[in-house]
Amino acid sequence: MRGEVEIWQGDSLLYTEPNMLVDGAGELLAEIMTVSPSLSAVEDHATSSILDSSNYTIQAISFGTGSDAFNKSTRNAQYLNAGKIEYLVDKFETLAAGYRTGPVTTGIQNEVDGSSYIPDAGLPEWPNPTSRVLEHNTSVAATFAGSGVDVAVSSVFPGNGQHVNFLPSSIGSGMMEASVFSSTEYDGSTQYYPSSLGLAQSVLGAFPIGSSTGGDMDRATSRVMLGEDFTQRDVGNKTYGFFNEVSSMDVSGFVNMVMSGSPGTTTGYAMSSGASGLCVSGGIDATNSGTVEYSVMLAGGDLATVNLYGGIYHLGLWTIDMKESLLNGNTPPFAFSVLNNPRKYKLFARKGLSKNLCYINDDGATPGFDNHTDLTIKWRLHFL
Amino acid sequence: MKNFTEELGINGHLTIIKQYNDGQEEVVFDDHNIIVSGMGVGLSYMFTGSGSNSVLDYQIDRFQVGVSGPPTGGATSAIYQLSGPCTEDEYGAGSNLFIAVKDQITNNTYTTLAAAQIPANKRTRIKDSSVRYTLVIDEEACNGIQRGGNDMSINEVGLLMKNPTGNISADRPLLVAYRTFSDIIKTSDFSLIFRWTLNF
Repeated sequence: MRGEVEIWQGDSLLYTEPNMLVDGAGELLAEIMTVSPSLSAVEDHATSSILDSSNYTIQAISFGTGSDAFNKSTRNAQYLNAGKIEYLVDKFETLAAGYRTGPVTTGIQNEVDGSSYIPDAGLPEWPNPTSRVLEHNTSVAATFAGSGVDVAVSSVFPGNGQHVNFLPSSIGSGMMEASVFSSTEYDGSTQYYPSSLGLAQSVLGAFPIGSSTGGDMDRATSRVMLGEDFTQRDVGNKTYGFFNEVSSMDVSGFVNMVMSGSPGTTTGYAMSSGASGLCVSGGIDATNSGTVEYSVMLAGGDLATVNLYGGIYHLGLWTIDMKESLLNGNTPPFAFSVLNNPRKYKLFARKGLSKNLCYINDDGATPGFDNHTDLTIKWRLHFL
Repeated sequence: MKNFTEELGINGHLTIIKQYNDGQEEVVFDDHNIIVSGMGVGLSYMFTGSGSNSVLDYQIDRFQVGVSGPPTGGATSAIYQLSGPCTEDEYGAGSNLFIAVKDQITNNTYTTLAAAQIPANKRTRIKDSSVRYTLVIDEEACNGIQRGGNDMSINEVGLLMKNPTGNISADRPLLVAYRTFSDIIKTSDFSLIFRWTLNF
């Protein structure tokens, strides 16, 4: 029991429970206490920037699920085999004009055509204060022909313990540009049938594009994941997300802290919207309650799409791992980047959920898949 | 609900050693310490981004010793200053200690108090989440302290965070850890070494 997490749907509190600080939190404080003061005398800006206190605070949140979702389930969107590809090709050749409101399913995944989807995530990892990641063993099991030979997706993009963010075409193509999955063609037809790029994107997932980038999802990915051309969807706006709309999530699935100002000390200060990323709020001086609150919003579309990839059973708060960031050749200030993020993160606190955060019931007239509503996560740390 | 420092399990251990001029050492105290609420206050300034922009201001870089411990009401996590902190003169002019007199944050106000600097090389990360502070009251320091005509013994010590609010004109330190111990009448025959380990 360390800190607390609340989940809100509009003005309704759905859930509240304590969280758990992990070893990374203690390591961070020890690091703060022993940073060399001599760095302040160095005139080089990058070196002296190591002392910036924002490098030692919470800077990201991420989401994860059980490892089975990535490599054991035969229902989730991560699953892919020759039979599924063959099925998709056949489907696209014969039924390309139609559209569906759920993932490709018949005979391969759960039957979902507008109905809510119940993902298969197995049993998520137990709370462990020594954890460095949200979940271990999260490499996807999918293997398919990239450049003529079978290649395991995980050999190019190994799992990092959480949901990643490969669906937007700019991210997918950017990451796979020099990999065996760079082809946008399948059997000679550009983006019509599942391409290696589209297949790789679809099995990695996990967060949807934003509304203003609606036409930019790779067509093949859209077909694999949703069973239709994204541009043909008449319910597409229900599966748009916040994170990729505002580019607040990097390819590794870390949602960036978008506000690091001084709440209460700035005249006219207004809290940022949780839709723009991870926000922080807290009191100061005489009104200092010792409580720091982090909040972030998940769009209904984010929930609907990540649900296809096993849902959300883990939440994690992350600080910058200064040592790893420097060892990777980056120098502060570490500007957040979606594709090539110089920030390497260290897990500070985690929260395990016993129920899928994306869980939804059908109510008949408005079936689940297109009916997710936005959720707000409020994560509080009490210092006093 | 437990607070952050309790949940994180921040704790500390203090060992006090008398080191005589001939090299002999005598352990006179060996016990846990008290992490006071100032630790949470300082860290909350940092995590909300409402305090100093420099991580150095959140470091524990000074300490105080005092002569009036334990405090009235007992040594609890609510205390924010030593009961009888030594003055600049009482630390001793001939000692190697670097003494700074600053406005210390004390219960939503400020109190001008003296504290001794902990050199950076005496702040050591001994494990991934443990830091050891080695505080040295040398032979020339804190000898012959008298108040009201009475000889005074050293019996309390505290660690202070440098300047968490980020005050620009001068540091405003904050008490973050505290401990009382049995009276020690300091003389020039020995140094007092405080080995203080904080586990975060």
